[in-house]
Amino acid sequence: MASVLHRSVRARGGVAAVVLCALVFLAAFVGPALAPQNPFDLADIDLSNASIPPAWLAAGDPRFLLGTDDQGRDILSAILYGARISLLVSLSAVVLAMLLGTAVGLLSGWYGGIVDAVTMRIADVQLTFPALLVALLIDGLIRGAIGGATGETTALLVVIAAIALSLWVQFARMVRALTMVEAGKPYVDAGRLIGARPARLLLLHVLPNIAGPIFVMATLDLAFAIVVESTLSYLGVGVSAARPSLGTLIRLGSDFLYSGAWWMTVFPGAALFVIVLAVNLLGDRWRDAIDPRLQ
Amino acid sequence: MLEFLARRLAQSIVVMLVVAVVAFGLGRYAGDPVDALVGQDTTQAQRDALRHELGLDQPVPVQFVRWLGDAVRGDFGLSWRWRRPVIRLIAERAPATLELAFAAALLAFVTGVPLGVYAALRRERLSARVLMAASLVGVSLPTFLLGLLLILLFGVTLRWLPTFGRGDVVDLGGWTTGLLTRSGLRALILPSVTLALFQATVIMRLVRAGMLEVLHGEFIRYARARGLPRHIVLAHALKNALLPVCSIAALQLGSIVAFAIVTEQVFQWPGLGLLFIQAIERVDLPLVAAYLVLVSAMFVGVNLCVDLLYGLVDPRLRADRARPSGTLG
Repeated sequence: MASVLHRSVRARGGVAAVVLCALVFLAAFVGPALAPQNPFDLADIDLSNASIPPAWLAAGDPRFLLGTDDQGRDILSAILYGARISLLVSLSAVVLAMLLGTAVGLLSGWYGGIVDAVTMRIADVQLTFPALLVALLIDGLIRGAIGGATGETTALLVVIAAIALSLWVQFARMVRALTMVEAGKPYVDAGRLIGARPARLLLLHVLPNIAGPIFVMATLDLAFAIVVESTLSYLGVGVSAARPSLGTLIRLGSDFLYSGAWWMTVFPGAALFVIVLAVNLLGDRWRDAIDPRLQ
Repeated sequence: MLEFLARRLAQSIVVMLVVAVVAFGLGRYAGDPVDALVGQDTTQAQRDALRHELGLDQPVPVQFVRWLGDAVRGDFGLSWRWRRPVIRLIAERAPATLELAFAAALLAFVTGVPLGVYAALRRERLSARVLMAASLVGVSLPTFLLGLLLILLFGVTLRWLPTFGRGDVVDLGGWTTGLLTRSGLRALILPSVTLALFQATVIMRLVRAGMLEVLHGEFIRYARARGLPRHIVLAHALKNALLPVCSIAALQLGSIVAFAIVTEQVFQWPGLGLLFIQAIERVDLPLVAAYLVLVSAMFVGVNLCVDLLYGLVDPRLRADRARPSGTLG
């Protein structure tokens, strides 16, 4: 684990990837405390400040570095708060997918039989469809089932569940294949001979040996989850507009694209792009570091 | 081969049945069709009559079999919002999506394959490294964001290209095409580029990885050692590298349909994706169910074709299957 991280840092661009990721996460989780304005506090927002361009333009206002939206919200503050929601949703979804997929993969790879047959058939069905479509459909299904009007928290949970359910099969498939390979190795046989229980063998011996690829997949899936979350929010079926994520900000801003207020779309878009790029870069370097064929 | 074919076919049928159950359950449990169809001041007796007429008072398995029977014949009922047969709505919108998807797929292949080959052959060069870095950028740019940025640049700032709808279309007996008019072709440019970029980067990375793996192979080293001209060696390598790429790329192209939903929303392209998103927003369940079933049928069909073609094209797979019966390769 640590040596893999070490190697990925040494790989070309590895340091840049780690630093960029650290900055992005720092900005998203500490940023709101430093933000000039709380975009969810109505007392903090003044409608007379609506649609001000970025500060360096002639009509700009030094109080609003990246300008304001049509409600008078500071774009920079909205981005910092929005990035936190985007990362929160996609991180939760990926962790959920990873836990579920790893558990199922370990079990079906170790025991085979009916568990294996059932999960792999489910995987076959689900992998027939692109994950984005699966997330969109699950999102629609849950929404339909619990009725149209939902609170902010419910909307968040629905999106997390939809993304997690669209990603878990990939983990299950990979972990299953890796477990099957590990299960035939001498150290596992040795463990069996001294009478170790399967749970002990799986969690203490097999799992650490296959952790590298799992974390790489989780990193690359995190980038994908951020894209899916922002896409769902852009389509208006993601998180609620009361707590906008970056995708929601872009959707709201894009209504003003034609009237020349480009900053409402471009800055949240740039933030989204940098976040996805940072995570992708990290996953890419990391994968190269653990896959000797690619070196 | 026959057993393989039968197994894949059975698997596809199971997938379609699962999808059908989901689609049926969606229409059955996520809302009351009677409420959706009648107005405010319909009496209870009229509602009951309609319920009976639609067969909703029958046991659920009976309803499912009837629904399935209708669906197989292409009858998905009336759209709650448009009050028209769902299948007609879909048939009207399909040409727009298919033309967009086809243009994007073509663009993705034509750019992705040569760039991937180049990046593999010249992998130590700066230009190839820049290309790989650019591909990471392409993967990291969400489709809808790319679309919006293209609109901003080419539509709003430069005013070069249309950013809205399909332009003028020509009706060819039920199939409306935008490929025959100038404004239709111009309207196609931005949406198809938006849709193609992600696929092009994926194809490029696949081709590069495939080429690198093949170039390390024994037979390539042997061909080089024999002193075969470079272009002949390359032709051998490309033939072997493209095979897995073709199958993965064909599956990837299926995801064009998924991303078309997003692209159509950005450009207000009047295709199936826009219809689907509006149906989800307005809880128009028969339409959602029909889209689900038809798109699934398409995916399952593509998957099946890819598997079968793979078996036909790759001589190694054929040889494996031929061996038990005593013939060699």
